[in-house]
Amino acid sequence: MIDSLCDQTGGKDVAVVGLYCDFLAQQAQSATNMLGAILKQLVSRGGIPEHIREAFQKAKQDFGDRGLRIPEMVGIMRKTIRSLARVFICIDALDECASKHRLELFESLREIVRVSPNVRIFLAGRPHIGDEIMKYFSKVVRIPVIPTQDDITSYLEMRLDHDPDPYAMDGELRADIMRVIPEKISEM
Amino acid sequence: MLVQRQSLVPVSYRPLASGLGDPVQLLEKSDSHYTRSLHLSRKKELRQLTIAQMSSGHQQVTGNANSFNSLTNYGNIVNVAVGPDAERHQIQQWLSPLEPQQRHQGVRTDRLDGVGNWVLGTNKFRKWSDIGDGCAEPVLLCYGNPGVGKTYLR
Repeated sequence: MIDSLCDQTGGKDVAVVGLYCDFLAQQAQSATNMLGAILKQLVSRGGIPEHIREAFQKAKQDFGDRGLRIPEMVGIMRKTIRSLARVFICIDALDECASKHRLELFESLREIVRVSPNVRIFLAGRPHIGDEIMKYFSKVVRIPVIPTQDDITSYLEMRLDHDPDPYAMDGELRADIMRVIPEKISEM
Repeated sequence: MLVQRQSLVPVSYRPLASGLGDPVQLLEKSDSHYTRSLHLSRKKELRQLTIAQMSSGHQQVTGNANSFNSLTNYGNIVNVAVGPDAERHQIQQWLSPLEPQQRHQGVRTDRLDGVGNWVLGTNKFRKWSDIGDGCAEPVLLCYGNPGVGKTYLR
Protein backbone atom coordinates (compact mmCIF):
# COMPACT_ATOMS: atom_id res chain seq x y z
CA MET A 1 0.00 0.00 0.00
CA ILE A 2 2.76 2.39 0.95
CA ASP A 3 4.60 1.65 -2.28
CA SER A 4 1.52 2.12 -4.46
CA LEU A 5 0.76 5.44 -2.87
CA CYS A 6 4.38 6.53 -3.22
CA ASP A 7 4.45 5.61 -6.91
CA GLN A 8 1.01 6.96 -7.66
CA THR A 9 1.25 10.27 -5.90
CA GLY A 10 4.97 10.99 -6.13
CA GLY A 11 5.72 14.62 -5.55
CA LYS A 12 7.65 16.63 -3.07
CA ASP A 13 4.67 17.97 -1.21
CA VAL A 14 2.98 14.58 -0.84
CA ALA A 15 4.08 12.44 2.09
CA VAL A 16 3.36 8.75 2.56
CA VAL A 17 4.14 7.39 6.00
CA GLY A 18 3.53 4.02 7.60
CA LEU A 19 3.46 1.98 10.76
CA TYR A 20 3.37 -1.75 11.42
CA CYS A 21 1.94 -2.85 14.73
CA ASP A 22 3.47 -5.95 16.25
CA PHE A 23 2.22 -7.81 19.27
CA LEU A 24 5.81 -8.58 20.24
CA ALA A 25 6.53 -4.87 20.50
CA GLN A 26 3.33 -3.77 22.23
CA GLN A 27 5.15 -2.05 25.01
CA ALA A 28 7.37 0.02 22.75
CA GLN A 29 4.43 0.79 20.45
CA SER A 30 2.71 3.32 22.66
CA ALA A 31 0.47 5.91 21.06
CA THR A 32 3.16 8.52 21.70
CA ASN A 33 5.86 6.46 20.03
CA MET A 34 3.60 5.61 17.11
CA LEU A 35 2.58 9.23 16.55
CA GLY A 36 6.24 10.17 16.93
CA ALA A 37 7.20 7.64 14.28
CA ILE A 38 4.66 9.19 11.90
CA LEU A 39 6.05 12.63 12.61
CA LYS A 40 9.60 11.43 12.18
CA GLN A 41 8.76 10.12 8.72
CA LEU A 42 6.97 13.32 7.80
CA VAL A 43 10.13 15.31 8.45
CA SER A 44 12.59 12.73 7.16
CA ARG A 45 13.00 14.19 3.70
CA GLY A 46 13.46 17.89 4.23
CA GLY A 47 15.11 19.67 7.09
CA ILE A 48 13.59 19.54 10.56
CA PRO A 49 10.92 22.29 10.68
CA GLU A 50 11.65 25.16 13.02
CA HIS A 51 8.65 24.51 15.28
CA ILE A 52 9.88 20.98 15.97
CA ARG A 53 13.41 22.17 16.62
CA GLU A 54 12.06 24.69 19.12
CA ALA A 55 9.98 22.06 20.92
CA PHE A 56 13.04 19.83 21.11
CA GLN A 57 15.27 22.56 22.50
CA LYS A 58 12.65 23.42 25.07
CA ALA A 59 12.23 19.78 26.10
CA LYS A 60 15.99 19.49 26.49
CA GLN A 61 16.16 22.47 28.82
CA ASP A 62 13.26 21.28 30.90
CA PHE A 63 13.31 18.17 32.95
CA GLY A 64 16.13 16.19 31.39
CA ASP A 65 15.12 14.97 27.93
CA ARG A 66 11.39 15.23 28.28
CA GLY A 67 9.41 13.39 25.66
CA LEU A 68 6.34 14.90 24.04
CA ARG A 69 2.87 14.25 25.39
CA ILE A 70 0.10 13.22 23.03
CA PRO A 71 -1.63 16.63 22.76
CA GLU A 72 1.70 18.29 22.02
CA MET A 73 2.49 15.63 19.47
CA VAL A 74 -0.88 16.18 17.76
CA GLY A 75 -0.31 19.93 17.71
CA ILE A 76 3.11 19.54 16.13
CA MET A 77 1.75 17.10 13.62
CA ARG A 78 -1.01 19.48 12.57
CA LYS A 79 1.53 22.22 11.93
CA THR A 80 3.77 19.86 9.98
CA ILE A 81 0.90 18.54 7.87
CA ARG A 82 -0.21 22.04 7.01
CA SER A 83 2.93 22.57 4.93
CA LEU A 84 2.19 19.54 2.76
CA ALA A 85 -0.37 19.14 -0.02
CA ARG A 86 -1.37 15.62 0.91
CA VAL A 87 -0.43 13.18 3.64
CA PHE A 88 -1.18 9.46 3.58
CA ILE A 89 -0.85 7.67 6.91
CA CYS A 90 -0.88 3.86 6.61
CA ILE A 91 -1.14 1.66 9.69
CA ASP A 92 -1.05 -2.10 9.44
CA ALA A 93 -1.97 -4.91 11.86
CA LEU A 94 -3.94 -2.70 14.23
CA ASP A 95 -5.25 -5.78 16.00
CA GLU A 96 -1.69 -6.43 17.21
CA CYS A 97 -1.51 -3.10 18.96
CA ALA A 98 -2.41 -3.03 22.68
CA SER A 99 -6.01 -1.80 22.87
CA LYS A 100 -5.18 1.04 25.24
CA HIS A 101 -2.57 2.38 22.83
CA ARG A 102 -4.81 1.77 19.85
CA LEU A 103 -7.66 3.83 21.27
CA GLU A 104 -5.30 6.68 22.11
CA LEU A 105 -3.94 6.49 18.60
CA PHE A 106 -7.44 6.59 17.06
CA GLU A 107 -8.36 9.55 19.21
CA SER A 108 -5.32 11.47 17.99
CA LEU A 109 -5.89 10.49 14.37
CA ARG A 110 -9.50 11.58 14.61
CA GLU A 111 -8.36 14.98 15.81
CA ILE A 112 -5.83 15.23 12.99
CA VAL A 113 -8.37 14.26 10.33
CA ARG A 114 -10.86 16.74 11.76
CA VAL A 115 -8.57 19.72 11.33
CA SER A 116 -6.50 18.60 8.34
CA PRO A 117 -8.57 17.93 5.19
CA ASN A 118 -5.43 16.94 3.28
CA VAL A 119 -4.90 13.78 5.35
CA ARG A 120 -5.92 10.28 4.26
CA ILE A 121 -5.66 7.36 6.61
CA PHE A 122 -5.31 3.75 5.54
CA LEU A 123 -5.91 1.16 8.25
CA ALA A 124 -5.56 -2.61 8.05
CA GLY A 125 -6.32 -5.36 10.51
CA ARG A 126 -8.50 -8.30 11.36
CA PRO A 127 -12.26 -7.91 11.01
CA HIS A 128 -12.99 -7.29 14.70
CA ILE A 129 -11.22 -3.93 14.75
CA GLY A 130 -13.73 -2.63 12.20
CA ASP A 131 -16.40 -1.84 14.79
CA GLU A 132 -13.92 0.00 16.95
CA ILE A 133 -12.77 2.11 14.01
CA MET A 134 -16.36 2.94 13.07
CA LYS A 135 -16.85 4.31 16.57
CA TYR A 136 -13.98 6.74 16.19
CA PHE A 137 -14.41 7.80 12.60
CA SER A 138 -17.84 8.67 11.34
CA LYS A 139 -17.16 7.94 7.70
CA VAL A 140 -15.03 4.97 6.84
CA VAL A 141 -14.59 3.32 3.45
CA ARG A 142 -14.37 -0.40 4.04
CA ILE A 143 -12.87 -3.00 1.73
CA PRO A 144 -12.95 -6.65 2.80
CA VAL A 145 -9.74 -8.36 1.71
CA ILE A 146 -10.46 -11.78 0.30
CA PRO A 147 -7.81 -13.28 -1.95
CA THR A 148 -8.97 -13.94 -5.51
CA GLN A 149 -8.41 -17.32 -7.17
CA ASP A 150 -5.63 -15.74 -9.23
CA ASP A 151 -3.99 -14.41 -6.06
CA ILE A 152 -4.07 -17.84 -4.48
CA THR A 153 -2.78 -19.60 -7.58
CA SER A 154 0.15 -17.28 -8.16
CA TYR A 155 1.06 -17.35 -4.47
CA LEU A 156 0.99 -21.15 -4.40
CA GLU A 157 3.10 -21.34 -7.55
CA MET A 158 5.65 -19.00 -6.04
CA ARG A 159 5.82 -21.05 -2.83
CA LEU A 160 6.16 -24.33 -4.72
CA ASP A 161 8.88 -22.88 -6.93
CA HIS A 162 10.79 -21.91 -3.78
CA ASP A 163 10.23 -25.23 -2.06
CA PRO A 164 13.16 -25.88 0.29
CA ASP A 165 12.58 -29.66 0.06
CA PRO A 166 12.02 -30.24 -3.67
CA TYR A 167 12.95 -33.93 -3.44
CA ALA A 168 9.72 -34.58 -1.53
CA MET A 169 7.63 -33.06 -4.30
CA ASP A 170 6.32 -34.70 -7.43
CA GLY A 171 3.93 -33.73 -10.19
CA GLU A 172 0.98 -35.43 -8.57
CA LEU A 173 1.42 -33.81 -5.17
CA ARG A 174 1.92 -30.45 -6.81
CA ALA A 175 -1.28 -30.88 -8.80
CA ASP A 176 -3.15 -31.87 -5.63
CA ILE A 177 -1.89 -28.80 -3.79
CA MET A 178 -2.86 -26.53 -6.65
CA ARG A 179 -6.35 -28.04 -6.69
CA VAL A 180 -7.19 -28.60 -3.03
CA ILE A 181 -5.89 -25.44 -1.35
CA PRO A 182 -7.82 -22.96 -3.55
CA GLU A 183 -10.95 -25.09 -3.02
CA LYS A 184 -10.53 -25.06 0.75
CA ILE A 185 -9.91 -21.35 0.82
CA SER A 186 -12.99 -20.55 -1.21
CA GLU A 187 -15.05 -22.61 1.24
CA MET A 188 -13.79 -20.55 4.16
CA MET B 1 28.40 9.82 20.23
CA LEU B 2 26.23 6.81 20.66
CA VAL B 3 22.58 7.38 20.16
CA GLN B 4 20.65 5.83 22.98
CA ARG B 5 18.04 3.43 21.77
CA GLN B 6 17.36 1.43 24.84
CA SER B 7 13.73 2.46 25.05
CA LEU B 8 13.14 0.77 21.73
CA VAL B 9 13.60 -2.65 23.26
CA PRO B 10 10.50 -4.19 24.77
CA VAL B 11 11.05 -5.26 28.35
CA SER B 12 10.43 -8.88 27.53
CA TYR B 13 13.67 -9.04 25.52
CA ARG B 14 15.88 -7.47 28.13
CA PRO B 15 16.98 -10.63 29.91
CA LEU B 16 18.41 -11.82 26.61
CA ALA B 17 20.98 -9.12 26.51
CA SER B 18 21.76 -8.91 30.19
CA GLY B 19 24.27 -11.77 30.12
CA LEU B 20 26.27 -10.00 27.45
CA GLY B 21 27.47 -13.14 25.79
CA ASP B 22 28.30 -13.68 22.17
CA PRO B 23 25.72 -11.72 20.17
CA VAL B 24 25.23 -14.54 17.72
CA GLN B 25 24.51 -16.98 20.52
CA LEU B 26 22.11 -14.53 22.04
CA LEU B 27 20.31 -14.27 18.77
CA GLU B 28 20.10 -18.02 18.42
CA LYS B 29 18.62 -18.14 21.89
CA SER B 30 16.16 -15.44 21.14
CA ASP B 31 15.25 -17.22 17.94
CA SER B 32 14.43 -20.44 19.68
CA HIS B 33 12.56 -18.89 22.55
CA TYR B 34 10.56 -16.18 20.97
CA THR B 35 10.73 -16.00 17.26
CA ARG B 36 10.81 -19.43 15.72
CA SER B 37 7.46 -18.93 14.11
CA LEU B 38 8.05 -15.36 13.17
CA HIS B 39 8.43 -14.01 9.74
CA LEU B 40 12.00 -13.59 8.60
CA SER B 41 11.87 -9.84 8.47
CA ARG B 42 10.63 -9.73 12.04
CA LYS B 43 13.52 -11.89 13.09
CA LYS B 44 15.80 -9.36 11.52
CA GLU B 45 14.14 -6.60 13.45
CA LEU B 46 14.45 -8.50 16.68
CA ARG B 47 18.08 -9.15 15.96
CA GLN B 48 18.63 -5.46 15.45
CA LEU B 49 16.74 -4.68 18.63
CA THR B 50 18.90 -7.07 20.59
CA ILE B 51 22.05 -5.56 19.22
CA ALA B 52 20.80 -2.05 19.80
CA GLN B 53 20.07 -3.01 23.38
CA MET B 54 23.54 -4.43 23.87
CA SER B 55 25.27 -1.46 22.38
CA SER B 56 23.30 1.11 24.29
CA GLY B 57 22.94 -0.69 27.60
CA HIS B 58 26.50 -1.81 28.22
CA GLN B 59 29.39 0.57 28.35
CA GLN B 60 32.00 -2.12 27.99
CA VAL B 61 30.76 -3.04 24.54
CA THR B 62 31.26 0.43 23.22
CA GLY B 63 34.64 0.65 24.91
CA ASN B 64 36.00 -2.29 23.02
CA ALA B 65 36.89 -1.49 19.45
CA ASN B 66 36.52 -5.05 18.19
CA SER B 67 33.11 -5.61 19.68
CA PHE B 68 32.03 -2.29 18.39
CA ASN B 69 33.01 -3.19 14.86
CA SER B 70 31.48 -6.62 14.99
CA LEU B 71 28.24 -5.15 16.24
CA THR B 72 28.06 -2.58 13.52
CA ASN B 73 28.52 -5.35 10.97
CA TYR B 74 25.05 -6.61 11.74
CA GLY B 75 23.39 -3.72 10.02
CA ASN B 76 24.63 -0.31 10.98
CA ILE B 77 22.60 -0.15 14.11
CA VAL B 78 25.12 1.81 16.08
CA ASN B 79 24.71 5.26 14.70
CA VAL B 80 27.55 7.66 15.08
CA ALA B 81 26.21 11.14 14.59
CA VAL B 82 28.59 14.01 14.04
CA GLY B 83 28.40 17.57 12.76
CA PRO B 84 25.16 19.18 11.65
CA ASP B 85 23.45 15.81 11.39
CA ALA B 86 23.84 15.24 15.11
CA GLU B 87 20.96 17.47 16.10
CA ARG B 88 18.73 16.12 13.39
CA HIS B 89 19.44 12.64 14.62
CA GLN B 90 18.77 13.57 18.22
CA ILE B 91 15.46 15.14 17.27
CA GLN B 92 14.39 12.10 15.30
CA GLN B 93 15.23 9.83 18.22
CA TRP B 94 13.42 12.16 20.56
CA LEU B 95 10.30 12.01 18.38
CA SER B 96 10.21 8.22 18.46
CA PRO B 97 12.51 5.23 18.89
CA LEU B 98 10.38 3.17 16.46
CA GLU B 99 11.77 2.42 12.99
CA PRO B 100 8.87 1.19 10.83
CA GLN B 101 10.95 1.55 7.67
CA GLN B 102 12.86 -1.59 8.63
CA ARG B 103 9.76 -3.72 8.61
CA HIS B 104 8.60 -2.08 5.40
CA GLN B 105 11.77 -3.14 3.64
CA GLY B 106 11.09 -6.74 4.67
CA VAL B 107 7.54 -6.53 3.32
CA ARG B 108 8.75 -5.07 0.03
CA THR B 109 11.27 -7.86 -0.36
CA ASP B 110 8.82 -10.67 0.32
CA ARG B 111 5.87 -9.32 -1.62
CA LEU B 112 4.70 -11.23 -4.67
CA ASP B 113 3.89 -8.74 -7.42
CA GLY B 114 0.34 -8.73 -8.64
CA VAL B 115 -1.26 -10.42 -5.65
CA GLY B 116 -3.96 -8.23 -4.14
CA ASN B 117 -3.69 -5.57 -6.83
CA TRP B 118 -7.45 -5.75 -7.39
CA VAL B 119 -7.85 -3.60 -4.28
CA LEU B 120 -6.08 -0.72 -6.02
CA GLY B 121 -8.50 -0.97 -8.92
CA THR B 122 -11.64 -0.62 -6.82
CA ASN B 123 -13.62 2.60 -7.00
CA LYS B 124 -13.47 2.86 -3.23
CA PHE B 125 -9.70 2.95 -3.27
CA ARG B 126 -9.52 5.37 -6.19
CA LYS B 127 -11.91 7.80 -4.61
CA TRP B 128 -10.11 7.66 -1.29
CA SER B 129 -6.64 8.17 -2.77
CA ASP B 130 -7.74 10.84 -5.23
CA ILE B 131 -5.46 13.81 -4.98
CA GLY B 132 -8.29 16.36 -4.97
CA ASP B 133 -9.16 17.94 -1.65
CA GLY B 134 -12.28 17.55 0.40
CA CYS B 135 -12.62 13.77 0.42
CA ALA B 136 -15.79 12.96 2.34
CA GLU B 137 -14.33 9.75 3.69
CA PRO B 138 -10.73 10.20 4.70
CA VAL B 139 -10.36 6.79 6.36
CA LEU B 140 -9.97 3.57 4.37
CA LEU B 141 -10.13 0.27 6.22
CA CYS B 142 -9.00 -3.00 4.68
CA TYR B 143 -9.97 -5.87 6.91
CA GLY B 144 -9.65 -9.60 6.66
CA ASN B 145 -8.60 -12.75 8.42
CA PRO B 146 -4.98 -13.49 9.24
CA GLY B 147 -2.94 -14.47 6.23
CA VAL B 148 -5.20 -13.08 3.49
CA GLY B 149 -2.48 -10.65 2.46
CA LYS B 150 -3.46 -7.32 3.98
CA THR B 151 0.13 -6.43 4.76
CA TYR B 152 1.24 -7.35 1.28
CA LEU B 153 -1.21 -5.20 -0.64
CA ARG B 154 0.92 -3.24 -2.99
